[in-house]
Amino acid sequence: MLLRVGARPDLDNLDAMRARDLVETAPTVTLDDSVADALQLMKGGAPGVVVVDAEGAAVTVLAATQVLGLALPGYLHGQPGLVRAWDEAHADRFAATTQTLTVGQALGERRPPMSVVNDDDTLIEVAFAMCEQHAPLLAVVKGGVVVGAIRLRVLLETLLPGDGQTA
Amino acid sequence: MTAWFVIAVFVGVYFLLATERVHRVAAALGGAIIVLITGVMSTDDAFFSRETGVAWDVLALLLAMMVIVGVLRPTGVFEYLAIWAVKRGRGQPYRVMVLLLLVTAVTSALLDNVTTVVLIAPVTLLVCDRIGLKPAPILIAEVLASNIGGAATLVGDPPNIIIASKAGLTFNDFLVHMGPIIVVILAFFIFLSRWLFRSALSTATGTTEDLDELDEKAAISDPVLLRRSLVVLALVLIGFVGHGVFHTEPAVVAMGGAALMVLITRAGPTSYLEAVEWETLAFFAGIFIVIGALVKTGVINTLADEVVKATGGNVAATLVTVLIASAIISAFVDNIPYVVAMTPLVAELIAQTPALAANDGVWWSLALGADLGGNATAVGASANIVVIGLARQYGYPITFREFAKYGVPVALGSILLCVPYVLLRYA
Repeated sequence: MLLRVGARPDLDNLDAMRARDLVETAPTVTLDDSVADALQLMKGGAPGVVVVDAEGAAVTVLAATQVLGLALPGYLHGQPGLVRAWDEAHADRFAATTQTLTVGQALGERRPPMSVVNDDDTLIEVAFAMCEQHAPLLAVVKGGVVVGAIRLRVLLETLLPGDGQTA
Repeated sequence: MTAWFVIAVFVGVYFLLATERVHRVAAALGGAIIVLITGVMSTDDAFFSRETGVAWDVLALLLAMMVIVGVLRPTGVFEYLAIWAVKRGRGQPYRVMVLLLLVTAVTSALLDNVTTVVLIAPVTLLVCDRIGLKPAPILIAEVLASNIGGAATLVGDPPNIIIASKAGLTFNDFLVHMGPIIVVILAFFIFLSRWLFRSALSTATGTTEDLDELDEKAAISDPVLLRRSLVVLALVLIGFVGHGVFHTEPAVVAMGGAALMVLITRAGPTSYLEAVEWETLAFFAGIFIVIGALVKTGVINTLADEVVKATGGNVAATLVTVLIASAIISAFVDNIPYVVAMTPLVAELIAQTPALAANDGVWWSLALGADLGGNATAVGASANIVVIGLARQYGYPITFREFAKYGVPVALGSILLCVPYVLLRYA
């Protein structure tokens, strides 16, 4: 995954800031990685992951809760009644298959559209995209190519610098 | 010349539907627009004529039943029923499968087939996961059961709704004429399934405990709404069955039920309207207009003349021809446009051959052939296509060949059982 380290925000020039200024290395997993590997990244505090194929091209971006969703059997998605009926004995073991289940298998055909912004989008466009797509991690594209990702935390740090005051 | 133009439009629409080159709504509405813009059909013909226009009672009945399901579904009642049933199978694969098939068939008699398979599929996958069954064959078995069960009632399958509207048949007519043979066919299918699905059933490794631990009562999210919904559903059924007493058409009964459901639910319109398949309703509307053009230009009359000539006006020959032709055609193409096209043709057959009017036998032949023929192939019915899609989505792809391996014997056996039934009862 390509790396871009964003510059620290210049509060006097926030109006000029673009998505490219907040881009960071994106946590990634491949389609062949196990779901357990992806979940380990979430345990480490990542807000989400970029899923890439064998060639390194981004396939989709998953928020942390979506990564958690990979651990659930596919037939439970959208089935609150079945989840309620799931017994306790099996409830604690539902993540047991994540070691052998790959990200590609878990996603199947249910790949969510990639949460993206363009590298020249403004901060409000980045914020809007995060809200609309419910995505704490956005892939940043330039010319159709993913150049990095923006985390919600970084956006908030930019908008609300250390003393909590807004810019 | 106009007739040939309309035939070309119809063939074009059917081609697009069969090949799925465009979305079916685009095909149906496109065909409708063509016959309207070219003046073959006027707006009166398309929207206000009982003979050539949109059958609004069919659309109203479909819409109302979709709203009813939209309110009932979030209560978890379907999951409750399915889990309750499979627990009675005590972990034995064949018993579990039979119970799932029965739940599917009965549910399908009240709800449309597509909704039924969408509801039953997740529970099926859960059960298969627990006891180690291969899901794909079980899903196929369920969709076959759904198509069979749905044929039993007026509301169980859209072709039945269309036939009832055109022929003036009631809910009770379907129970009396379709019910008995469907019960026989369902029994045949369940008996056959032990042999047909033997390989799939042999893979089971689970035990009773794997299913016993499921808590079906926990699936119910809103017991109060569920109780009220079931009361409304019962009233709707009473309304259907009591047509002879209340003199209320099924569409009106269903709309009344839908209105009551909306009143009793706390959910907003977004929730219950989400269950309405607007594209299905738009598809129906377009197809009605295209077929209406065939009626208006006399194509249907001409076809009916040819059928009468071919059968010599013989009742038995007509019944069997309609039954088998409907089954064969429905096996490969969507049975909804087929039935929409056939209903005016059958009406014309009856007009030309008074002996056919004696007992509505030709309508039942059409219903049986169109409903049951769709079991033969993966593309024969909408429910089949939906199950194929669900199976692929969940990682259990089903090929055309695999479906036909199970579907063809079931469809063939069903139609073979129907032949003596229609001859003995209606010829």
